[in-house]
Amino acid sequence: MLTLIKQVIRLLMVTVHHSQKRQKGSGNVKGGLLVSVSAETAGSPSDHVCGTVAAAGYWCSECTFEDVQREVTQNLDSSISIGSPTDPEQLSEFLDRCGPLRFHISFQVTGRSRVSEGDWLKTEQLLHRLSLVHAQVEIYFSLKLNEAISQKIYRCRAHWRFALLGGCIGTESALYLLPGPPAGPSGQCTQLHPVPGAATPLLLPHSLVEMGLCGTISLLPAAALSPCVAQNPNWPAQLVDIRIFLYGPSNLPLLCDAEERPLSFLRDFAHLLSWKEFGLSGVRCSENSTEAGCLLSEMVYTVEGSEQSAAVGQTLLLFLFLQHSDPFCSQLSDFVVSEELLVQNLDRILQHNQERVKVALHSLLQCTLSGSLKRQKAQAKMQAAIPVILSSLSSVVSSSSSLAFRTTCLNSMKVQDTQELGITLKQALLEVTQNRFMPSRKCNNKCLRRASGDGDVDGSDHKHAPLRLEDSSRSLSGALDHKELGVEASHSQTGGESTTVKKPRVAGVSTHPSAHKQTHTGPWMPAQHDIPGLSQTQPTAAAHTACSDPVPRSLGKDNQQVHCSHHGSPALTQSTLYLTT
Amino acid sequence: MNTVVTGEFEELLEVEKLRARLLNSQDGQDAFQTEREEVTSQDVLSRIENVILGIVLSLSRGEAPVLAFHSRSHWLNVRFHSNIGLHMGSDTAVNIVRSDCPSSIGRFASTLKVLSTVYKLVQSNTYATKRDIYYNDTQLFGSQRTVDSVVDDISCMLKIPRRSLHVLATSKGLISGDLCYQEEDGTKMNCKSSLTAVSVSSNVYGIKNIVSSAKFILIVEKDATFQRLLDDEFGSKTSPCIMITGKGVPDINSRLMVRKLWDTLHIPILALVDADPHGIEIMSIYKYGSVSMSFEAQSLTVPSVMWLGLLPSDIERLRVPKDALVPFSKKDESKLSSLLKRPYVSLQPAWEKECRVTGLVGASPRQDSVGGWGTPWTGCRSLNAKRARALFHSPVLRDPQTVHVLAKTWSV
Repeated sequence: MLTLIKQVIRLLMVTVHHSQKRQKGSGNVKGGLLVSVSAETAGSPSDHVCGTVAAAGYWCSECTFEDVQREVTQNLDSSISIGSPTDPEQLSEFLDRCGPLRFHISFQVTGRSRVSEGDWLKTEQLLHRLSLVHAQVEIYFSLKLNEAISQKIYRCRAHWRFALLGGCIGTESALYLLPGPPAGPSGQCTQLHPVPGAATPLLLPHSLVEMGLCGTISLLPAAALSPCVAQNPNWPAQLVDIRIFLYGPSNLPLLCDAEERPLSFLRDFAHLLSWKEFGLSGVRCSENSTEAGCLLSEMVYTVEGSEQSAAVGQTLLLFLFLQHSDPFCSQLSDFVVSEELLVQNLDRILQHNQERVKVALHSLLQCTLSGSLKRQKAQAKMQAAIPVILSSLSSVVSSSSSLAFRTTCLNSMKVQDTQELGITLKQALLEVTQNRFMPSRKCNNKCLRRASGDGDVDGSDHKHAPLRLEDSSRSLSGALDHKELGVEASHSQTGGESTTVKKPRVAGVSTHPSAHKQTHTGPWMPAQHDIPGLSQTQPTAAAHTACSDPVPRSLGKDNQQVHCSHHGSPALTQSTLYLTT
Repeated sequence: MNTVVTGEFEELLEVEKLRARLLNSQDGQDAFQTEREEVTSQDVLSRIENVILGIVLSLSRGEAPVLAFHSRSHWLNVRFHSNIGLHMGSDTAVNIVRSDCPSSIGRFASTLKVLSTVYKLVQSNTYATKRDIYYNDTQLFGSQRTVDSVVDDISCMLKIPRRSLHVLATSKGLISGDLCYQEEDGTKMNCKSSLTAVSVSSNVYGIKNIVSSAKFILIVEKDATFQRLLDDEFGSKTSPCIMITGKGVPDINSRLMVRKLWDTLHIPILALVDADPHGIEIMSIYKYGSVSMSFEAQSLTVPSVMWLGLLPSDIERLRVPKDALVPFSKKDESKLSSLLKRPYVSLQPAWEKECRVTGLVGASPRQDSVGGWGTPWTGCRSLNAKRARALFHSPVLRDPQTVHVLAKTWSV
């Protein structure tokens, strides 16, 4: 089933990609992609697995999907049959949110089928990776395993997208499951600011040309640092790890499985560049976590010597987009074959163009990390100056013979003697210098200013603590409060495109995937108050938290049969969804 | 014999008249000077304590402390008065030095370091040179220039002359001529040697018991010219005089010394500078002060300084050969255009005319040119008496008495 779903998604994306290339510049048109799986496993009366893949909205409005249908149906296993969606309401809700249905396929595996959690995790990871570079598309993943329901929505707000290659990179750091910046007294930026590199043409090795791989291939790199600390220029920040995201010609992730060995080129990447130029002692390959809730990347490198640092840890996200165009390819099957061939031989291609790739990456890293280098130098200046300031202040106060002056100094800092004064002055100076806030136009500011005594979650615990990522993460995990939920509800009302958030929210929290999980009261439900049957007095937190784990749900009774269709609006009626907690 | 005595008497009489006239125009400035000197050590300590207290209070409020300095580089902060020169206005713009900004925290720390050093110096009634302060923490200051600038900023911020901060500077200027004085520590200085010059004291305020029978003071722009005049025994061939050079743009001590000599001797001060924009600028610094030190104009400027030459109009009048002229660079042209905008130039038509002539000529006499045109003075020296007189009869030098005196005594 997983293979089939992946196959459908691949065909869908290849079709959309090549259609976009013809249309040029339709990357910012919104829409949605639905992947829904329902499985009744051993022990239940009806042992079957149903899957639905649907695309809606304007992002694929120009595509013709007959080829996809044909490809899928022709290669179907005997145990798989095309059917109708098991949850028409779900599909209906999806269409309501994402626009007219453009493509839909539902299939069913009858008989005993093995459904492992790992399979769905891989599907989830694939969709997650897909969402990062298709930020204009809302991606819905629903898994109903017996009675337990698990849902994921990958969506990025309109103003948090970075247009690249006919698609959009999501710039919300939470999409990458990365922690936001540590809580501070002022606003924080939870956004990425991607830096696009220059497209580098790659040469094809002769052997591959002989195998039939033709056309032009290029590599477009892009990079971004997370969390953004631009507005807090005095925070000590250090690059902790580098993650590489490799995408094939149709912007599909390569997704090396944990079992597979990563590309040897990527393993050599640690020795490819002169890291000292970027102020780093070196990098080493690190283990890529494939656990649930982790973003899978093709390679992770850890920066040497960053483990013991108390500075804010930053992750460098390095996107590598392969582009391929072959004027002699026109059929979907041609595209798929050449893309598969390219991906299979990618390591050889990259090794063959090692110098070119090295130059491109070096130039991109210089642009991306130049700010970090400047910050390091600035930090060194600050660290050198602060002791001088403190010793000068203490020197004058200690040697002064003016009682009034000394008393005023001690009283103002609420200390008894000059020794205490030195300690207090040091704390105060470190605090005011580190917490300097410089608003930046490019950053989104989430005000965290705490109204006195309102009990809201903010970074006040860290006020005097060194800036540690672990601390901030802890803070974030505990920061999911009612305000946050309220904001998401209002966000949902505007169809996920809201740019103005009026309610106070917790920076670095609202956009966290866990928050996404928690905010959906029903399957793609527009707003909490629109749900019939859901009592307003019900504990919302219970409803929200339930979604992070599969939760039983009773479905509407008036489901309609939806058959495989494409192009045009489906004949679906609105169905009512009920949520039980 | 009688004729000679009568001639000398007339000469002295003319000088006395000139002195009296110059003195009359300086009365206001003298009053100001007296007021400036009344800064006690306790005042200095209190003012430093106020700055420190401001920082501590900022920190107690959780605010990043800042230091506010009067901007010493903007003409907008400077006013011009013919009796004082360029002086800082009361409603001046300030520069803020932040403690939470990487680009300024170094400056902030340097300032506090110097403040605490000054505090100790004043408390212990000891003195240190700027060089000493620099070597105290070379890594922090980075260069001697930073210390110079920080000391001036502090002096401006606290409204205290550098001398009262107990910070001294090694002098670069030289002095020679009919002059004897006593340093603050009692050392007797005699500048009468015709062969070697004496360094200008680094503690001009402490100089006392000045004895001189000089008839005028000659400010010489360049060290080379100064040395040439010394070699030629200029002082012994003319009337008794004092020669001083700041070796280009004068340092504070050279300017203080000129001011001190004027305050004590009240004799005419003549400036011998190159006939180019930089020469005019240097002469203006002695006479009217600089923007960066405008906050201390009262103790540094001597508005009675007279422009002796070499005037730009002399180049044409004296028919300096064209191959002995060096065309102006862009920097020279830019300097000239900036000079023309200065308030003291626009107030003096003769100066303005000379500046415009400079622009028209577009060149200055080459230093190593043949025919003795190496410097203004050597240029003068190579002239016959008639041309020398023509030089002294400059429209800027509007004192016929001085011209008369010089023309008679300066019979090279």
